Amino acid sequence: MLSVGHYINQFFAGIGGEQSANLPPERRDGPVGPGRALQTLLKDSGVVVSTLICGDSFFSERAEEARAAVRTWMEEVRPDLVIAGPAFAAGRYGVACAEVCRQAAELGIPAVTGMHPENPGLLGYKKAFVVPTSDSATDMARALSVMFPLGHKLASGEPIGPAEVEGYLPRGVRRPGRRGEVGAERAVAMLLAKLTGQPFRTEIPVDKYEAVPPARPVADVRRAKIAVVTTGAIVPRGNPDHLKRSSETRWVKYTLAGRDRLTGDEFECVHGGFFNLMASENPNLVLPLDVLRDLQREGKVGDLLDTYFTTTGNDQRLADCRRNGAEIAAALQSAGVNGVLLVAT
Amino acid sequence: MRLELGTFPVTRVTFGTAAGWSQGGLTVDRARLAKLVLEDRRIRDVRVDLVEPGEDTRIIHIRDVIEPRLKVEGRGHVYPGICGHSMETVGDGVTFRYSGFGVLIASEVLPHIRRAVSAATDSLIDMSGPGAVTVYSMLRYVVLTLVTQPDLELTEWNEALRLAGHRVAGELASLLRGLEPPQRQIYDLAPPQTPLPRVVHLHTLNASMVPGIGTGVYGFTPHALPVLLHPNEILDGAIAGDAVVGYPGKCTWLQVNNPALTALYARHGKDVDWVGSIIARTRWGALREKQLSAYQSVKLAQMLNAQGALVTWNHGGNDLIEVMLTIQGLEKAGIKTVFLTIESDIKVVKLSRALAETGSDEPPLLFSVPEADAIVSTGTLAPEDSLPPVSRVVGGESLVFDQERPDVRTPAAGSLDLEALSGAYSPIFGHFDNYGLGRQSYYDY
Repeated sequence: MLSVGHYINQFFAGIGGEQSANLPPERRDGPVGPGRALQTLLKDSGVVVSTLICGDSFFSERAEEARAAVRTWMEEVRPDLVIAGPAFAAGRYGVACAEVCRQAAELGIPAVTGMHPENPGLLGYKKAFVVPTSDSATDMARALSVMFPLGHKLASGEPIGPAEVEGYLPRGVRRPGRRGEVGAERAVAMLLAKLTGQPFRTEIPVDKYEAVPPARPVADVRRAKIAVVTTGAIVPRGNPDHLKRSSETRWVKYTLAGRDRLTGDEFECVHGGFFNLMASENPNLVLPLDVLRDLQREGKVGDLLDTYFTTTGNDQRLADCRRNGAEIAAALQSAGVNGVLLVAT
Repeated sequence: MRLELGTFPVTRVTFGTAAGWSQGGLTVDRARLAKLVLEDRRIRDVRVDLVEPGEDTRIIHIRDVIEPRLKVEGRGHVYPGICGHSMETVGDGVTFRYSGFGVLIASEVLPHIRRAVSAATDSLIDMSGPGAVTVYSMLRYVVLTLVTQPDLELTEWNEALRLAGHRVAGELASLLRGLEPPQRQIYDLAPPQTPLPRVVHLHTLNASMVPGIGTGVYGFTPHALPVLLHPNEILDGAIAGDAVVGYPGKCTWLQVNNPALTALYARHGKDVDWVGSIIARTRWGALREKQLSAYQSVKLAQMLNAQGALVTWNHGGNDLIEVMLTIQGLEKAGIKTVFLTIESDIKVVKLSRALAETGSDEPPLLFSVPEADAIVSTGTLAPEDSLPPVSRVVGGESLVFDQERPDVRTPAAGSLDLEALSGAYSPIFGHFDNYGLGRQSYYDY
């Protein structure tokens, strides 16, 4: 017998709309509101043992308290499965449902929610199992009829199939699998579908890229300590650390101390992603020490860190890029650097 | 342009002095092939081996695979523009070919070339076991293991190897002259009886950063603005790889067996009106060059009145920028696109569950545009396990997995844990299915 905990907002609990959105979390035994439809779907296989109700404004404005209440509820009730919402297009409700799923995951409790694909709640916790719904509660019965079997499968520990098979929204995880036709035939069939207005489903949904917020501008470069970091793979001639030409996982650092410019006798470029002969002959093209020293002499740059950092920006794993970036940033920070000239190739 | 392909399937290959093809059996004259290769003074030694699928064999140092083809009627020479072949436009007449068979050129990279060309990597093909993941594990081969003069410069080395391979391929193809092919198929782009959606193949191909080598169009390898090819030209070998780089998607065998061409031909006249293949070179150095190439490709597609485009590419990182700019431009011009692509780039060497996942730590594509809303993923061909030891190695004895440590050599016959040995780059020859030969893909979870 599956014990199910259900999270809903004040509106679906029948307590009230916006005027009641500050309702603090409260628990009820058994199903409330849409929980009754859920109980009907469960039939004899399970029971909605407890419902947690919280006002949408309360959840967004007093997030810490709301989260604590959700956690305590789950720890005490220990349901086999948590169902949150569905929230449809309601933004704050969606955010709350996603948070409920996150808390459940942290406690090892399977959880499913439902919301419209454009609900901001989807951004809150990407790993949540979210069944797509329409933008209004008229879709309640259908949404629950997809959410419940998915939840049941999760609770039973059965392996979960791909999003398009099980009916949830992609969770940012992609795994290999085989399809019915070979790739070339699928591609021509998809093109034909697109040309004739038939439905088709892309096999790679295009993601928006992570936007990296820029650092604050350096207040006064004339008084700043500047460092050079390059993904251009400029290394001492002979490549003492065997920096790879592509798919490098590490970064390295070398000294600039006592040098006015880089010469091709002492340095070389080992980047394999472009025709690097010119950069090897004149490494200043990638690591512009010559110009930086001029600027230093002219007083336009305060200080230049004696160490530069480099890696090969060519076919790297994103995971390695992230780690390298964090490690280099930490080294720069501890060296008291205020600004960095980042040279890509 | 009308091309008839006569196909001679190869189901067994044996050595013998009575060279010829009969009922699936190909007999090759080992001594004659060796002599042919050694006519070129740049080649000091050659070994000729036969390899077939299912064997406990690992082929290493693969430089290219060539499907022997023979122009029986019509102008020009198969694989035009390279190895001294005529520049005459091909794609018309009758061409004979073997299926399931290739001449494989194997030769270890010369040390100075290894230093100069990072893409001149060591590669391998396992003919059985967990590493037998690509189409190249399913072909029968005459393998030519070549030892060249040690001081050949890059383009000389490329020419010597390629010429050896094509001389042997030409010799074997000539055995078909006068025979009746078991299969005949006619390829043309006859206008359909009733109007059908007009589709163009946007066939983007990387151009080499290193002068003098790379995948060529009629042997022309430099970066160039887009050009329109009839698919029959490609079937006659107008696109051919070099014998240097180890990139997947550059192999000469693959160009004439490109499944994207097969799939488009299968629908031509029934569901679509295929108007040809625009070849657009990629890996330009500057954004303005990338833009120019993309915009000119779009313009050509518009001048062809294309309504749809199948966009393919054959590898790279920065190449994807102009590919995506092309998709964006086509969509903005009202030409509907589908992009056929590998996934996960080169990141997966061994298909452990954690390494194979994309989307969380690794984006499935390095770069994309919102207009690319119809993409087919050919996933990854990474093997699920380490490669076990083999009883026979052809093509050499040991492998270098790190171009920066050519002195660190791994015996090729042993067990190979590719993830440990090779890091993020797979040495399996043709480890991407660039054009959709297989059913492997990725799913969202």
